[in-house]
Amino acid sequence: MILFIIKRLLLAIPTLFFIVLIVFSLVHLTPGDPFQGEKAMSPEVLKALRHQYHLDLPFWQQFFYYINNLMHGDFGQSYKFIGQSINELIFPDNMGGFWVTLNLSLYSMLIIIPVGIVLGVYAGLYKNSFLDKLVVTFNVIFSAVPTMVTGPLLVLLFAVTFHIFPASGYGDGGLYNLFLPVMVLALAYIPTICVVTRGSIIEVLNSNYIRTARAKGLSDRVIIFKHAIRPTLIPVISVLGPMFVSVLVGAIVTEQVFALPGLGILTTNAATNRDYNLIMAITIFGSFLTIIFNLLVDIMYFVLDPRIKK
Amino acid sequence: MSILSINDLVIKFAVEDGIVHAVNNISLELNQNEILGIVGESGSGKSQTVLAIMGLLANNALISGSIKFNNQELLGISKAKLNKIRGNEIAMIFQDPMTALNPYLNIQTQLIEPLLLHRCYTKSDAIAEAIRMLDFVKIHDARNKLKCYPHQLSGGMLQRVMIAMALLTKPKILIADEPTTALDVTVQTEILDLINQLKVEFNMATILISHDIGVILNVCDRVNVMYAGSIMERANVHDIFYKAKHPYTKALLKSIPNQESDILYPISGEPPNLLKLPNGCPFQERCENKFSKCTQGIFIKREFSNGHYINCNLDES
Amino acid sequence: MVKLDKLITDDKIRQKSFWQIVIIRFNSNKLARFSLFFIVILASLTVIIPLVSSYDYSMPDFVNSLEPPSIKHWFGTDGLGRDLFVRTFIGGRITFEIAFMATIAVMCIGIIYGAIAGFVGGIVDTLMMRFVDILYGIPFLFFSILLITLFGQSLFVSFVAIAAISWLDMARVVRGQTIGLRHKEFIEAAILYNLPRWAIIINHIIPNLLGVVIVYLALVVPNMIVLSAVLSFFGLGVMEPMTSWGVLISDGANNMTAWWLLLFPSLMMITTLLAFANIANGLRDALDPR
Repeated sequence: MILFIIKRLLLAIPTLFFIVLIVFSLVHLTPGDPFQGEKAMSPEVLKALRHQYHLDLPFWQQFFYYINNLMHGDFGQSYKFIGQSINELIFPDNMGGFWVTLNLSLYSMLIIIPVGIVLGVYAGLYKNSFLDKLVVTFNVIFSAVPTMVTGPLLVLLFAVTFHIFPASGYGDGGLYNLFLPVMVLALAYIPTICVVTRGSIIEVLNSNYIRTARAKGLSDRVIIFKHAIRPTLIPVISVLGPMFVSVLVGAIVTEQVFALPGLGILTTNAATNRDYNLIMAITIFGSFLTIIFNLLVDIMYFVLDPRIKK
Repeated sequence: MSILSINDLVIKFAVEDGIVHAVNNISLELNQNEILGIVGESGSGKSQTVLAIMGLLANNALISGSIKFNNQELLGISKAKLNKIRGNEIAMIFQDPMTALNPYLNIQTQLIEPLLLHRCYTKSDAIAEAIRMLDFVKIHDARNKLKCYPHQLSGGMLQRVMIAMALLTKPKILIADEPTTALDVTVQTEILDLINQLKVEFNMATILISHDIGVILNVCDRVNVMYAGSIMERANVHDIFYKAKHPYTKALLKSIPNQESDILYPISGEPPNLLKLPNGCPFQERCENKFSKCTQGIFIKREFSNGHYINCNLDES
Repeated sequence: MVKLDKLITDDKIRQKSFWQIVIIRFNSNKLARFSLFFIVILASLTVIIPLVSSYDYSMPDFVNSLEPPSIKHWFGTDGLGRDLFVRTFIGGRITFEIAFMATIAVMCIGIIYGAIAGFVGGIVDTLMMRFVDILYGIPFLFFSILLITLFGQSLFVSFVAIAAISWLDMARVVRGQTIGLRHKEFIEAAILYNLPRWAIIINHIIPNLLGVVIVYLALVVPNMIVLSAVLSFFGLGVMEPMTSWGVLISDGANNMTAWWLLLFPSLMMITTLLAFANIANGLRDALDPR
């Protein structure tokens, strides 16, 4: 078990290294300079700045500095807000940055996973029933319509027209302020879980070993909870890792809609200010999360599926 | 004498393109302490017949007729009542042992389930009994095998586990649906020997299904020959082998590969489409002895001495 | 359970070619057929309406700013008094353009990359797929935002950025199919005849990938529409006075009191996305009946 985790971790390191290399070379090998066009700067100041950011060094040395900083958990400094550490922007001491995004994503996952699984299981158990058809239609609609459309429409309905929930703002980060954003994310990502669960349980219930369980005279309840639930959930787990990352990304889009002070605002500002270092940091951090979640999924697989153990 | 009797059983499946006539009006009796064979090509309805006994047909199945176990009607009884019978008084083993056991649960969990459910054993008693039964079906090192997962055992071994699981509750009827088809030939013989032995040791009736008439002739006491959902001929093994009356049975016997000659005698043509069966005998298209009556939708059932039954228009007597 | 396919039993259909059968099956799915019809009509309207309308999509008309929907302006007007109906359709045109261009790029890169990896195999395949795995580790949204900020905001860069991150799935699917095809008799025969590899890939592999590619296409186009719209939300969409559905929805979300600014572009985009989802479903069922 521990050996397995170590092995996977060792495999993840080169992946992360190459991602950093790709992103870093993209930023640093494209023509142009982050401080170009800042006309107000005197040549001396510009030179000092370039020195401060190691931009006067050859590419490989710059890369070495960057990797070295990354290994110490340091994303470097913002190009726009001179002297401002990116770590403080992404992980501020007060509520903001990544913490807002994480908070929103966690709330959403807490709804998405159980609701998606329960809906999927029920739809699969009562295949072709009215409930099943309802769930399937729901899945088709909300897997097609993105958060950036459902978000504003829900605001128009619940905040602007009926004044039930606030249209924007983070408040104290409680459920009252986060209800609409969480709803938006839940609607967008419940189908992902639900479709997989439904397909999976239908396949499992048609399998030979469930027929054997029926032939033994086991009740439906025992068949579902003892024999069917584990094989049903295994494909669901495989979508959980990529999904958590998509929820994070979706959360960033949703933050835009609801003006929440998370990574989304940070990304927009970085994009409009052409703050490459900040975008690069967010991209690399996102990749890091992606790899970590895929690792977690692999470990869960390992625990749940006896066939992987050797 | 008869422990299970099936009367006028009809099984249809509603599919997108119409109605599949899987089993058409069959009747048969299973006697105490006998091995009853059902032989037929795939799609002849033999598996659907036994699945109907176990209440395991697909949801889109339409069933009529009657299946009586010890004079208790099985068709239409509640699921709770059915669950008291299946796995307890009637047990079943399946064609593909590799997929018939749950890959996510170890052998022990699956093996002791019937004892805990039907016999209210304590867990430790159930394990002891399971080990005894694994020994009986000649699995060595049974105690360690209990901790294994299905993927760690071979197909022949898994089929023995399935048999042990079926026998644990000492059922009155064992249904074996192509138990050896997915196995190697050498393992096949071992499993068939085991089934033969069970009849003596457990005093139970067995229904053995196979598409291989050789297997059936080796093991069974009486044989039903099925084709396209109808029972074409039924007799004891001796009569089927030496005095077969139905053209289909004769063709089947002739098609057995023979060591003395290299010539194979396949049955020409294809089985009829179960969506639109011809009127009368379903074998008429491929029958060598077809005559006017057959195409007019006439399909006569006849019973001879010694329980020999045929479903054919030919007058053999 | 016995599952019988109509095609096996019905002799009339049996003689038809694979693609004829696919078309018959697709046509029998009313929802998919209607959706395809809808998309074709909508795409033509996005071209026609801006041409024939008496309103201009770019000319401000401050006297009529923020008018609710009326007979004069069916979808109302925006803050600069421009007719939203025309702007929605011209925005649709840009959205479709970006989506289709990106899709074509995705298709070309994905098919060539996947076919080469799958056909050549060995160490080349391993390295190529390892590269794909690495790119999978980068969250797509950040990566395209990075590309756009690096290369400047333009229609061309937008679609390149979207395409650059979306070909991965296509490459994987095509590679899997190619490996399956590689061991088919007709490919092995071509190899025995010493045909050059590129000729085998172009003449034999790629035409046989058509089925998967078509289904996948119906999934890629809506993804591209969504992605381009999401970028608009980060201020990286097309520039004024040009517009797209993403920009229109983003603007509408910022001015909720004028509800029509949000509602009409949103509805337009939702129906389009649903239509594509139906087409994809229909195609999948038609190509791979189970």
